[in-house]
Amino acid sequence: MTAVLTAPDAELLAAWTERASRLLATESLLLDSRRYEEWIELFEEDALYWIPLDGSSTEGGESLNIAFEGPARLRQRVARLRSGIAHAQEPPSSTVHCYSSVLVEDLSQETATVRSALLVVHCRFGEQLLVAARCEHRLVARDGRVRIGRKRVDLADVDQAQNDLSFVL
Amino acid sequence: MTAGRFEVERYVSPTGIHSDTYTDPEVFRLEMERVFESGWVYVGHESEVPEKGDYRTTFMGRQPVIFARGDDGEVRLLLNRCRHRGATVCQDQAGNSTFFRCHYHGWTYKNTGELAGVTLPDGYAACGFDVKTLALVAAPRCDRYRGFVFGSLSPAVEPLEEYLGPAATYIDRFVDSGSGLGVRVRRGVPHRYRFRANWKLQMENTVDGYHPGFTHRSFFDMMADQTGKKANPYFKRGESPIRSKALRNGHAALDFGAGRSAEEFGDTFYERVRNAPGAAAILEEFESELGAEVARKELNRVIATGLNVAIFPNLGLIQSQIRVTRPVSVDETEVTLYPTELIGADPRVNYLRRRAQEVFFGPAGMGGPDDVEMFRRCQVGLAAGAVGWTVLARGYDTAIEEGDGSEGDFAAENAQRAQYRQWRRLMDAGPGDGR
Ligand code: FES
Ligand SMILES: [Fe+2]
Repeated sequence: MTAVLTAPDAELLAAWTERASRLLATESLLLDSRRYEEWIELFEEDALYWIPLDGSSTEGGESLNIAFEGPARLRQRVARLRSGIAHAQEPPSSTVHCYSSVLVEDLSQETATVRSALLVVHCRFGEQLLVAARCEHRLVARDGRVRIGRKRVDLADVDQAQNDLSFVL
Repeated sequence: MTAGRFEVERYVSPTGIHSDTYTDPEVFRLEMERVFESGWVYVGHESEVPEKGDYRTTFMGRQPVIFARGDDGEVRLLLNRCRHRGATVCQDQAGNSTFFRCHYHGWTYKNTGELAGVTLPDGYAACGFDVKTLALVAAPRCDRYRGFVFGSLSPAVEPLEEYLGPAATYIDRFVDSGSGLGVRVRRGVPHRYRFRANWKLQMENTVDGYHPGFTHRSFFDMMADQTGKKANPYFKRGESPIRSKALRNGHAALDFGAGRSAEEFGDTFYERVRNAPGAAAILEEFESELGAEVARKELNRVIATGLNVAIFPNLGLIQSQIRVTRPVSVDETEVTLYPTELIGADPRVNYLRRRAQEVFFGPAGMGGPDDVEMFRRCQVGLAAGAVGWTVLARGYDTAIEEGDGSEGDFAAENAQRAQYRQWRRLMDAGPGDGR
């Protein structure tokens, strides 16, 4: 199971571990400082940003989701968040995205899957709300850049009523 | 609130609501007794429990309920409370089971509610206490209309058909709108959100044609950017085909005239879904199969109904979703949006229905959360009890509204006034305040 035990190629693992940690840290920084347009640039043009309701779903289309969108829709989401009249995020929440327990798996020269624990602290009206999730990033290395092919966020309490999630996880 | 008769006129006037109606825990307690735990409430859709043994847990007011299909094929609303010392007998949100076993002392019930076994029964026999007849208590009334299952904890309510009255035709339209073969609830986890505000704010909003042009302007602006067409269909007085219908017993609807839709204002469901993964390809397929014009018209009709229906007190039918409002406390509410699919329809159509729900609704939708924020703001604002009454007067016309049904322009508040007339009727029902 774990990449650590079966690493076929220590060098490849080291390279992806470094890329993964840079990418997650970059993502976290861009989201928490609301540099959303730069964040979208991290995604491949055919990428998927996905918050499923059905944890067993493998591609999302056959179930209802909390979010199921590619860069085109993400750009719309971000433009709306910037509009000043996206009321649920007016004023915008301040967030801290914490990735931890990062595992790099399914390695090839071009692709890897990064599994992590995600805790988003979401501050609103004097309260600190928590969003706890398992996260899976499918990363693609091409032309000297690492991009996100798919970001999947599985909420720990997905079967429970949620607070506002109209910002970005 | 003082002891004695509940003075409804202190809370609801023909053209306004007193803020205590939303903020007073005593009002909430009475609402639970007189509205949610006496009158008809929506519980679930038959398609959620298609097989014998299927169940889903839910609430009628504050009371935990198992919506279950027994081995005899009957659907029941069983109170989720062991007859021994009260523990819940079913812990899961949904599943299939032949028995409900209480894991405290082991009493076991059939999925029909009947008591199947008691641990060490001789101890009861010895003292002459008959436990054998202690079945799970079923809601005394459980009835359905076109798959929509309602229950009442009071045996004395009127028949369901009478309660629904003319609103039944709106349920018909929701069920018959697409393939003609009906709708079913899509299995799986639905959209569910909570907010710190009174449940009635959601009830009012489900048939509020006055708000989209403001609350959802960011969504319509976003769609206008996408399509190049200004899509803000609900805003200008007199230009909307939508009529606000107040029906008997507090039910209400926002209703496009026959054959009309928001399409004429540039708001179409096929554009709303276009940017979802896989959707553009499906739209293109349909366009090449049916021709662009036919495909678009047809898709706009089947992706979602252009109806907003509110069945008092807790059911909404909006686009393709079944919306259920659960009051938790005076300032805490949970809302669940069950996606429906069209039976017998092209799977691509049901794919697009899910995408249409996701883009606007749910915790991360680009419309629904803005409604929820307005509920939160109302609850905070209504704490300014010094102001007293809200204004619910738009389009008020005594002559029309004295009757049981009325119709107004898209932004008339006749729908909400009808909801509060029903609220008054139920809250006024009993002498004394509680037990
Ligand atoms: S409470 Fe259920 S068996 Fe005792
Ligand atoms: Fe709304």
